[in-house]
Amino acid sequence: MADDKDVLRDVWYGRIPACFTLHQDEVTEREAEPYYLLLPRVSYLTLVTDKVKKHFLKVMRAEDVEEMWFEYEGTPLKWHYPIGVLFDLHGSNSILPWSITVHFKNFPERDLLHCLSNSVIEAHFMSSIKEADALKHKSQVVNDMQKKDHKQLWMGLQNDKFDQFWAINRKLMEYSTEDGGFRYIPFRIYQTTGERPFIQKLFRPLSAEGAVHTLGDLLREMYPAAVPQEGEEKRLLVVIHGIEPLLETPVQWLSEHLSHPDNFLHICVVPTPSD
Amino acid sequence: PVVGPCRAAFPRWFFNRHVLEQLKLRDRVQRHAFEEIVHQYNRLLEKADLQAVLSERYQSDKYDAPRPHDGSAGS
Repeated sequence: MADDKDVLRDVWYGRIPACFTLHQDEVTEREAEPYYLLLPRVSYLTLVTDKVKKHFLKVMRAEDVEEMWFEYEGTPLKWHYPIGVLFDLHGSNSILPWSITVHFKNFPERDLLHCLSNSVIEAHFMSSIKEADALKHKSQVVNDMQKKDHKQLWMGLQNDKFDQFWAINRKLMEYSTEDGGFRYIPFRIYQTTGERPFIQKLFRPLSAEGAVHTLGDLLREMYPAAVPQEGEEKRLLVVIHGIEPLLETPVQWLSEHLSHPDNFLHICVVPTPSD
Repeated sequence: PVVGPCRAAFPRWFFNRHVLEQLKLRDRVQRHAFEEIVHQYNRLLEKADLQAVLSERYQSDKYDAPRPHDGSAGS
């Protein structure tokens, strides 16, 4: 279906305009101009910010430079979440471009994982894909793949090659017609408050009676407050890739079309903007 | 509590079209509005950097290897 391919493309090529500025406590030899970048929603901060690093290193002395990390309004940004999730969760109520602060010292050990090379990101990405396939197909598809297929998934993401990535990823999205969907839907629900970083439980695309489960069904079970009751004012938005899909959308379709390249459906529940 | 499934109230093309329209709207606000100006800004930044490098080199050339007539011009 042509429309479905369009959805996949639009999801892949989503961008967020960002303005990077150096934190005031960083010592520089001369003034550092801000750096602007269109960030790919489906990628990872530490994978796409080589130019940001290079730009700010020019004004710094080598001895003042430790591992680079990012922060938005006091919140350290977890590089192991996709960029689109970070923005939808923390920055979607902010004025564009998204204003990110760059640090080279005082790494927040409690909040962030270290990321000293792209192989760390690759390992994280591949483990997400494997976890998703364990849920979808009891790991059968990912285990049947060859090493070069795994590499192609990663290179597709790293080099922003939609066709290269989907040539392999479509195998991870297949299911038999008699099953009517995946075994379980790989999803994570993020919220700005609460002690848990995200909600992740087992959820099937179809009910025991064979009825289609929708996004509304998923939320009613996992996060009832996100679905307003009859006559109640909407206080929370359910956001995937920067948009609000209809609550009537089947979760199976969402999983196939609005998942991130790591094969998870990342769902952000955020307060409605107050004006 | 066990929650029963609700039937998909719309046909496939309906929510598909809804998602596509939302994505187009999102891209207009977040991507297309900024693409050109970010590109232009980065070009300016490159030019400014190049200028900084060139003037630095010019300065060091002046001090490292003064040409003969520079001496008379300086006094």
